[in-house]
Order: sequence, then structure tokens, then C-alpha cells
Amino acid sequence: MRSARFLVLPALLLAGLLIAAAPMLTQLPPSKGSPQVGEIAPGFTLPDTGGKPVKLAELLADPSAAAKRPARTAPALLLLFYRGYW
Amino acid sequence: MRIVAVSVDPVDVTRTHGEKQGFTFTFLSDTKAEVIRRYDLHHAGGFGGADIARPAEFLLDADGKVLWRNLTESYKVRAKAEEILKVMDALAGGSASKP
Repeated sequence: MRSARFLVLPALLLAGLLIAAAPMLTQLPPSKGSPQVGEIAPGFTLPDTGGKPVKLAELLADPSAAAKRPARTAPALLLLFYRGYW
Repeated sequence: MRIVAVSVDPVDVTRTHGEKQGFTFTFLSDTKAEVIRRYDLHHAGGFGGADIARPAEFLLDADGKVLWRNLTESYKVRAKAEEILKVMDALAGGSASKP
């Protein structure tokens, strides 16, 4: 039917646009507000696997780790953010 | 140096997974993604419609200052241990990579 033919091209264009846009739909956020090198990382308090609240400041001040560091400016903590949903 | 991980998974999920995998580091639960948002790592609907964190690593000094950071473009890509050790070497004067 002639009317159906007129729909094919727009449908193909739409499909093409959706395919091209698909990567953008799941694109990662730009994270411009994430702390940069030289900035102070935001503090927090979160529960550990035992349900005990743990503060970032406490982790940074861990005395057993501090004893092994050569200087205050040496790495004290590696903070890893995981995706989740194991 | 302490190692601390954060994810949106609840405490019991992380504990179970950690026991299976033999995690020896501190693993914290950010179920409401509040800290993830504070670090601007929130990835809305990033995994099957669920809100997650984009993977990221931060190396901090004792004052909480960021010495190095790595924000990956995919949850399948993480900084390798060797890369982090090299960074630590450069920052701490060559002693970090020794066992």
C-alpha cells in the first residue's frame, strides 16, 4: 500500500537515531563535583559489614596505619567505589 | 594504608559476598547512595534500571586530601593493583611496592 511506504523511511530514521543515541542513554555522569587532586575528600559515616558506623575521619586517623607511614602527606587510605549489585 | 570500599549494597549482601571472596578490607554500605552523590559518582539507572556508583578510586593522605584519583568510564574497567602501587611509589618515595 502506498501509505505504508511513506512510513518506512521515517521509521528507519527513527531506528537509526535510537541506535545512535543508545550509548548516550547509559552514559556515565560527568562527575564534575567529584573531588579533584589537591582537594579534601568529603567526610562521611557509613555502616561496615557488622553494621557498625564508620567515619572517614577515623579511617584516616587509624594509628596502626599511621605508624607505618613515612610522612603525613603519604597515602593513608585508598577509597574504592564499586558498582554494587554483586 | 587502609583500603575502604563503598557500594549501594546492603550490609548483609556485602558481608556475604565479602566472606565468599575473602575480603580483608573495610567495606561500607551506602544504600541510599548519599555518599556516592556527595562524591558526584551517582549513576542513575546505571545497572538494569537500578541506581549505582560509577566506579572510582581515590588515594587520600591523612588529612583527607586527594593525592590521586581514577574515574573509569565503565564498571568493567578498574585500576589494577600494579597501577595503584606505581602511584603510591611516586608519592611515597619508592617504598610502597615492597612486600
